[in-house]
Amino acid sequence: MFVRCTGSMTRYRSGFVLGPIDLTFAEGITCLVGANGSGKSTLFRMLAGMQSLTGGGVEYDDHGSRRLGFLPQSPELPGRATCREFLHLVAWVQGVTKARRTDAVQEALAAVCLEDRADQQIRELSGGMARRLAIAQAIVHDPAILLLDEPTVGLDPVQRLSVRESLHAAGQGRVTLVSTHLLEDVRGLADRILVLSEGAVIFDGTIQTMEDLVPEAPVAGQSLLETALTLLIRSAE
Amino acid sequence: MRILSPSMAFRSLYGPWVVLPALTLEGVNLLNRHHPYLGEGAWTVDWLAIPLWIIGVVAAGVVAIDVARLLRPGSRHLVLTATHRSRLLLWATAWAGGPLLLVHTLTLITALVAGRVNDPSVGWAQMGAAYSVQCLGLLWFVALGGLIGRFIPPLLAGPVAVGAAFLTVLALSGASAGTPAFRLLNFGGATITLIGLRWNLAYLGVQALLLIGSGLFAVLVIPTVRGARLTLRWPALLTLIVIVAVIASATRWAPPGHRTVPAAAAAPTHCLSRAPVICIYYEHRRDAATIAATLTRLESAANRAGYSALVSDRLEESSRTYTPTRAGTRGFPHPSSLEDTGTLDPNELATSLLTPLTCPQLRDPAKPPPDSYWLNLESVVATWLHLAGLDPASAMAGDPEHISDKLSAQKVTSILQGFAQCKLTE
Repeated sequence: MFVRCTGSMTRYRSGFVLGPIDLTFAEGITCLVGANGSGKSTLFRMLAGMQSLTGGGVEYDDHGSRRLGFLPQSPELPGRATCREFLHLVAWVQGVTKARRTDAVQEALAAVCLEDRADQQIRELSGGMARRLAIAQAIVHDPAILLLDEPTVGLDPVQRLSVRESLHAAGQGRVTLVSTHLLEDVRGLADRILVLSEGAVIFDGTIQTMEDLVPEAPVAGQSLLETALTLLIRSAE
Repeated sequence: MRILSPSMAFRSLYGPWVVLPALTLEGVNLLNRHHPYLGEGAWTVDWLAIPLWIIGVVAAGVVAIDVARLLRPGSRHLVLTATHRSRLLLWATAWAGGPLLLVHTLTLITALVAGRVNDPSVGWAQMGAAYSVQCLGLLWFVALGGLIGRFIPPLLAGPVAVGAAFLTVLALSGASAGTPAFRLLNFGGATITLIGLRWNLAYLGVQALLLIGSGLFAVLVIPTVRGARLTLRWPALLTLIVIVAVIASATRWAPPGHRTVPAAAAAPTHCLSRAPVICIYYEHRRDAATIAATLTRLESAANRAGYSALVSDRLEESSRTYTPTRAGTRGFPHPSSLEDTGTLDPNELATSLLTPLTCPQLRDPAKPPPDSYWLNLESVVATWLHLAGLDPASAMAGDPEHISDKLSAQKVTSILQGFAQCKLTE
């Protein structure tokens, strides 16, 4: 299974242009890194089919059906519903059969370690738990393609760690794209890194190949990966 | 777990809560004006349409907010990227429309049971058709709210949908029901009896088709993201334009005629064995005792005093299509005083009995009868009320002089003979 962008391009009225992008995403976790406003969320919406293209196309190879899981940057969850009720609704919306729905919800809750909170109202969850529930809603229908937009933003270090563990489990066995500007997420998750700057892909490789871009010792106080990213973005500007 | 579980819907959506204003408005309407519709099936269905436009406008606003919330950037992926893209919005819409239909249906059943409607003269099928169109109308308002909520942020969606729904009511309801033009949102609302009328099935059919077609479009259409806005794709936009044009032009191409049309003339069958025989329509049997008491008092008084011209063998309730024409039989419509206030006005009943309804002069608004006709009529009515020991002054708003004088039996006979020959101008 894969997702392929062929000359994919979108243009905003403000003048911002994303693309043209020619990429293929295969099974595994790909992290999309870039500064704020570099086009990460736009690329995600484009891949999810939520953004009109002004050129090119996006092709999904998912054995005939496009089962897509999506975690938006700021997920809106129905605070007064319980975790289980919400996931049941999402499973129904995503076409999970009635016979399979209860198991699917249970598996999604287990994948993000929220089984013991299943019947708790969402508004009673901590920020990290709510984000894990949002990940659960993205995987409850066992999608072949999983798009996670800034899944750890706004969380404290402990919450981020637990969410990252959930992401790692959720991202296996499918085409998974994680957008982030936190390099610690990248190190903990990525099989492949894409760096985006001003609407264009400026790097596509592994953590190792990105770190190899740094010719000397990293800048004081920065990791090798951070220095590499800084170099890449500066050179693109 | 059931997807249609009310608990989550009531906790996550505003739509289901529209059931509260709906229950209040339907309940108030049910009990309003001494519930004169009770017992008459057709009138019951039509009467229940009175609050529908307010409920519809409120529902449109509430559903617009729900749909707009579901399409905020943080949740719109459950619509735009889902396997079944219309399901989430359908879920929200159904949880507003379903309870409204339930309330409306329960209200109708309550009214029919309370009125002991068991054999409506108009027929159950006709009633079912009119009721179905009312239900489609409620769902249409819900769909309209959902359509507006697709493109407007939640804070604005409610007020905009309420405003839009109100404007559609003004434009497409029966505001000008006097004209026989088609009105998509005319669901009834009769405040007087409908005996003698039936619904125009062609009218209801076109209403149903347009409500279903436009409602389905509004419920199923999925927006697309263009830039930062939610908008419609070109084919959907063109379809919307066509739907608006079809609805706006419906007055020109829809079948002509009123929503209700005359039914076959039928005499009343619920007769009381008295002298005179008094017959009213079966649907109005709960008013039989009240009407018969006043009629008997009037007839007995005239008989005792020797005013034979006022005495009849048979008194029959008339309808929109039936007026008794046999000699010795007088007709009277269902008293509006009973419908309006719950108490019978003897003056109204006496006036109805003496009015020569078959005379064409009374149906020609361009050439109304002269004042002398009205004076004669009032004088005879006042005389009759005097004879029955009723105070005409308290019941009649006419000139005190001519209603205080009692006419002789000969004068009454002369006037009524003139009326019988439709000589209203002397």
